[in-house]
Amino acid sequence: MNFMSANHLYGKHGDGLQHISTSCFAIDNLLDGGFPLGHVSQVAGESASGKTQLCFQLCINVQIPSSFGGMGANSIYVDTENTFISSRLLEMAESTVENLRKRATEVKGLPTPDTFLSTIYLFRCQEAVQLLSVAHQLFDFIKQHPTVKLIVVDSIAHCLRSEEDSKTRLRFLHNLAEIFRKLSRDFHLAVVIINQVSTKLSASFHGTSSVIPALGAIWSNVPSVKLMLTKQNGRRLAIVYKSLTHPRRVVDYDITKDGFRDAASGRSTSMIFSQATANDLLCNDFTQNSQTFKVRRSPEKSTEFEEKTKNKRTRSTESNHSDLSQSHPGDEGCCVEVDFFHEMPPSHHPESRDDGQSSPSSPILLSGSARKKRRFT
Amino acid sequence: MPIQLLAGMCPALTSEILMQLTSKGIKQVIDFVSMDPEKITALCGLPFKKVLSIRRVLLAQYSAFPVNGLDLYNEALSTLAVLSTSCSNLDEILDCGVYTGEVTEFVGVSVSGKTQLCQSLTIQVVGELEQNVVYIDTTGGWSVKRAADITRTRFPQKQVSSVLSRIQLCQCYDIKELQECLEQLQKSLHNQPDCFYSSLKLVVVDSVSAVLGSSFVSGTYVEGCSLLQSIGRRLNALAKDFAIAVIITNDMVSAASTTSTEFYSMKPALGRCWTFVPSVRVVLEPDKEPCQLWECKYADKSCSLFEPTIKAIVDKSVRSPRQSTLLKITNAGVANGT
Repeated sequence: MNFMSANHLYGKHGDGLQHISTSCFAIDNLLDGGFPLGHVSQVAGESASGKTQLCFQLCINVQIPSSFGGMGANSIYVDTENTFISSRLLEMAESTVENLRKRATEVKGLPTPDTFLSTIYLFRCQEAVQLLSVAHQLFDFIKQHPTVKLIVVDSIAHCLRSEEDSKTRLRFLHNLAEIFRKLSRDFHLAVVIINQVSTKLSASFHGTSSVIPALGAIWSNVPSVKLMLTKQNGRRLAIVYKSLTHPRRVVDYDITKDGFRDAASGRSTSMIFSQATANDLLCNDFTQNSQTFKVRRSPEKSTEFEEKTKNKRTRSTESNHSDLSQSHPGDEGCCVEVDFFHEMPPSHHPESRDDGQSSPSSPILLSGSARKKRRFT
Repeated sequence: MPIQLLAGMCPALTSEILMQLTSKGIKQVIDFVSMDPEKITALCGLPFKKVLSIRRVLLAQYSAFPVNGLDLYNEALSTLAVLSTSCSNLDEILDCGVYTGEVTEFVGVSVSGKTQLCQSLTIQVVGELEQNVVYIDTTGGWSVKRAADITRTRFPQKQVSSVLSRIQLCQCYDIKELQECLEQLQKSLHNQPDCFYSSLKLVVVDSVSAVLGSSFVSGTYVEGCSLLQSIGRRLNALAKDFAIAVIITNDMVSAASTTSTEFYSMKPALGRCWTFVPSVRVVLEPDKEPCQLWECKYADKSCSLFEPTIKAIVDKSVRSPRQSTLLKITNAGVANGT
């Protein structure tokens, strides 16, 4: 084991993208620009709260080429719930490409939706044993594919909850925790784990109950970034209750046809870029009014940048306000575009089981075949 | 670790005698010492005088010396340092701060502020006291950015890089790595390869249960216990031998409830045998479930700004009685709660 000076790390991590953007400005804010590389993060939430959508968005955002200010990296998707719907991913990829085209000064080097899909390595697992063996093999797999910067596990609870023996379950959890931590450290990549929720009853039967992430107290200490997605009175809320640098906050988010986005008030500019270019983009169009956005990459820059955005914001809110009210007449924080989930909830989607026959321990490369599938709009 | 008998350990213990001893199954020091000298003489055919002289040397070599209480006190005064936590509430219940020569444990559920407390104390020691810190991260919870933020908020006049250069970081994600790391640390403290180790005053292990928790499930129970004890002993030795404060964090696990009002209660992880390792234990309890939306009197926007207040309870300490206080986590690290 070698010791590193914290000062050395401070200098080292100062440059280069260290976070994968969620496309939701409010959440990116609280995570310093998105899910951090080198750490294990957890997204928990009730069924149909948008966990899978968030992970799809991460898979796409991690691939945005470096010429567009992204990471230009690949991702691994471990699917245990059979919720990986490639047509939905394609839809999100298309809107991302569209967005990139709008912003690009020259069209050269623009990725196609197919390239987005073809570099997501999908592993399908049904049981805990499969999940564990996939996890063990990821070390070799990533050595062969060093561009991987994101591992998504959707979800960890699904196969572990069916494990009856508590000791076996514990062993799985400890093993998985160790593997994911080591993966995140050794390859400096982000591990995002989706978790289900369970109910915690406190004090006798008349006491209150609360919704907490599943898998118990031992697992709860594993992730260093934790999000809870929840719905209240029709509003989608994300509780960022554990992060490396920020205190607990609750923010709005939304899921649109384009993907995981800010809630309607701040949505007109869909932020698909990571922190580095978010900086430049902000100065062009920034209509976020509820959150203050700070880039803290270096202390000298931040103050200068804050001033810049402040000036811009006051100008741009006026100009964009009419535009906003036009496109979304009278919306009260709820989704005005196609409500993706109410039409077709992901868990009931028939196409999700199409790829079931392929072996779970080998990655399924998504490419043109996914395109041929019927798209739903 | 059992100590083997070796030729030349004492003048009388020659290789011929050693051969005779090992052929009769007396291989370790403890075998020799625990056996009756007369029996050894009879068993191995060695002269009684020689056996006695070997025994005398071995006993002298492996026994501890009696120390005068006053000398001990004077020595303690000269080596003891109390590292203030910069939070008056916490200092009060800890009797002025974290003591060197002791293992201090912070126990709490997830999101109770354990890692924040560790980082806050680390920055306090390197920034205010200008001593060095070794930070062993086993959960991936360490953030350089957070450390830099705390430094900037608390010591605006100091240069961040100079403060952070006093911290050595080590990420160990399994027991073997942690053992190696502690071994290396011990070696470095003995040899003092550079000046960093001469003013090392704090070693943080965040958290012990993340790596040690699996020891019970991966092997037999006894193996797990002995692994735990060896790490625990090493931490204690580190604290005592080099007059260093050792801070460890531990998680909570659910246990069958002893009262009828709750379904289950929480207890520190790693079982009973670990409870003897730390000299001071502080339990951290957030007052609300952090992953929940709470009802509050304000409109939604400010409601989202609420953070749980943390109750810190001294569960074990030789100096202070069981008492509790309130803490909260701010931009500048841990602070007094209300």
